[in-house]
Amino acid sequence: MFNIYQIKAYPSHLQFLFEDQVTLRVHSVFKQTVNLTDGNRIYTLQHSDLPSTPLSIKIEISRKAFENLTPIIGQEIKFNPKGCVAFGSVFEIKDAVVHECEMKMAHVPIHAELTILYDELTKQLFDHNGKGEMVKAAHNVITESKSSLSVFGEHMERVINDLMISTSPLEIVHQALKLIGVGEGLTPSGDDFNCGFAAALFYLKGIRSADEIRQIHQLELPKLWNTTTTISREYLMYAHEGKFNEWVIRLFDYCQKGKDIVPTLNEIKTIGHSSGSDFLTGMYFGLRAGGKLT
Amino acid sequence: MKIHNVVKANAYFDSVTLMLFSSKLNTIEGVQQAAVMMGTDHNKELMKNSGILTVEFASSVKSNDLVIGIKAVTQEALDLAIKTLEEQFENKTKAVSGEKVSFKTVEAAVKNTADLNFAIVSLPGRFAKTEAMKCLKNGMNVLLFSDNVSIEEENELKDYAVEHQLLLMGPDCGTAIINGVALGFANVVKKGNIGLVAASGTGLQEATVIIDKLGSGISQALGTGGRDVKDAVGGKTMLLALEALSKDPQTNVIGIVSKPPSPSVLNKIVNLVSTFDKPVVACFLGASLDVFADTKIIGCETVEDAAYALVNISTQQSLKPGSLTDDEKSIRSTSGKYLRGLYTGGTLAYEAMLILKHQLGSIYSNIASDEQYLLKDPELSHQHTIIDMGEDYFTDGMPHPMIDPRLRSERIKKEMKDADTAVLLLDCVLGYGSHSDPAGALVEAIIEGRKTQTNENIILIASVCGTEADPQRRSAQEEQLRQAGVIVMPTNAQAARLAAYVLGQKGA
Repeated sequence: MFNIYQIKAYPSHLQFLFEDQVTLRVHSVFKQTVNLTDGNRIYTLQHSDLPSTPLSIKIEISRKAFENLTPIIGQEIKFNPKGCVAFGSVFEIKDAVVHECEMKMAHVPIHAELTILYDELTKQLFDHNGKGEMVKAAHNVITESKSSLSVFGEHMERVINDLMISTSPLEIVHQALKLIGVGEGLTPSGDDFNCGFAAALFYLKGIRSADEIRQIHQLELPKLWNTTTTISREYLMYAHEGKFNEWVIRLFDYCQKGKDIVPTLNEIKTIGHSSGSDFLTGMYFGLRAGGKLT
Repeated sequence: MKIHNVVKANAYFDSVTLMLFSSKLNTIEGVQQAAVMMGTDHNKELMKNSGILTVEFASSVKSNDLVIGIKAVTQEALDLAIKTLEEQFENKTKAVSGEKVSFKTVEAAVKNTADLNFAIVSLPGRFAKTEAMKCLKNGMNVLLFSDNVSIEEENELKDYAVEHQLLLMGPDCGTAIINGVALGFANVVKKGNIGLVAASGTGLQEATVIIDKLGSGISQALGTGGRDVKDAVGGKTMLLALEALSKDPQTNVIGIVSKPPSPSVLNKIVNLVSTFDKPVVACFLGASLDVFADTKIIGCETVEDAAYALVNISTQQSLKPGSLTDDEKSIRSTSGKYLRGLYTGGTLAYEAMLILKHQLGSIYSNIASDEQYLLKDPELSHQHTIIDMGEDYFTDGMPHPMIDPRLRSERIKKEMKDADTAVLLLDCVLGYGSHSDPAGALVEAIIEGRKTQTNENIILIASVCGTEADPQRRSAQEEQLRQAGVIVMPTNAQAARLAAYVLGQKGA
């Protein structure tokens, strides 16, 4: 017989999936996520241990049980107002939480809260507290050290160095975008960097220097997102709209409320292999450029 | 310096896997540089610049492709790297696709496979309960194919199953379709929004096949085992299955096919169904439609009627089963007196018996519920007779006639030799589990029968329970029968009606 699972949460912009009969197909399958597509956009089914993202339909299912689902690439998944049926299981929508992914800050960040976040990120980079070439490259730049890097890491190091010394908003964005599609992983590190960079700029909304950079980044990013992978492009598209995963939203919320941000930073670092660290590195340089911090 | 490039089109591996591939290659002695990257524009550019991706190769790589570049100082090192890479991919693909594995015990399967949720138990009855219980206790729903499981054992299994919200289908459950997967004797039908529960194997097959033929499809088809709706078991699986279908978002309409439940079970079904917001259609073969009065259930007399009602509700149409054509009405039996129905499907035999009884009065059978019409010797037909060749008497020590048609073939020859036989009524059940060419076996028996036929004009009528998608292909099976002079009707009910008409004309 079929297992019945509850859909725990999904973002409000995916409500349309449950309003009519919508058919998606399995695009790609990973241990912790199953990506679905309508031929244009990507939607992700995931277990409940992962944070909600703008793509994700989060299921109340253990990690182990999720791994035992049997999706087949190309398989049709039909959504309806009650949920969806997929891989021999029923996913019911009835108690699902519909959440917002859009970053809406209560106020323009004040210097004190901004400094706490920036200092914590600086400390982590100084301590080389993170995974992957991007963190290593950033560590090299800000500590002026010379850890050996791959050809991709060397490129990142050069770009980050140029970004740090750039002063004009156009040049800063130009450097950040040089990282699109660069690096390891299914979502290349440079893309995660740009998502983090955008998140920082959305957080700094209302600060003139940041707004300028954000507007240029928003204008230029769409020109490049087709040069990277389909799944990575999806995250970039949401970042472009100011939509991020729940841990990122919480991080900025805690910043504004003066709560301890370290546990959330550590949670973000656990995303993917190096994606979380790449994201935080991008966020660091976004804060630095937009907040004119040194 | 030797360079080797590989591209895997639209290959989605997680980041950790890609990094493991990369690091494995980079540890090989003689490999100067290796990268396993997604083929984004910037990554390709960097790989080209560092000399691990040729310009020609780069032009064929797209963003969603995985591109591998290996630069080695010797051909030997490059060969070793290529071999290592292939092994890595092979291992990963195996892990992703999941190979079939076999275990000698339920315990071993549970220990080595996480989150098993379904088991089919097909063991001799005396071992079946223990193994079925092990499966239930490990959280699995069970299709219990075995017969010869006692009522006490059935209740013990079903009590545990109900308490833990698991389905125990059976014992003696031969048909189910779960999430589009046909189990046991089942047909290849379209997926759709009609969910079925049945205490009857071929009844379930006939219903799914007619629904498919009318253009609709099945969400789930669940068997309960024949005794489930009797007082001794109390409808435990029937009720749980109905509840599951009521919650199944893919099911919009629910159908029940069964012999009449006991009054107390019927009462439970009616009470449960009254809480559903989905329409329920039921065919309790042999029960008066009065039992559905003042209930939410839409009652039908035959499986065919139930299938039409389900499709009509599901698609908001008003389809009706076909009535006899003028050609069919012109068929006359000029010799012989009686009907002889030889069935492999028990419910099909029962449905035919009910239809024929209306027209012909008494029908003798080895499955007659009225003692008066129960054949004393199933080997010998008496007046109008319908035989369920799948009944225990015939299957004791023999495969079911849907699998091995030899016994029925012998009986066909015997009935054709009988001068009293006027109409021979047959079923031909296709699908998984069934004989690979049941029509072929019937035709062979008919040709043999004709050699010793004493009555020159026996009317042969059959229906094929199957779909075009079945391994035996319905149209090919029907054609074989027609070529042998058999009148092929669209459903079992219509075949029975034609037989009744032909014999009725005779009486008239």
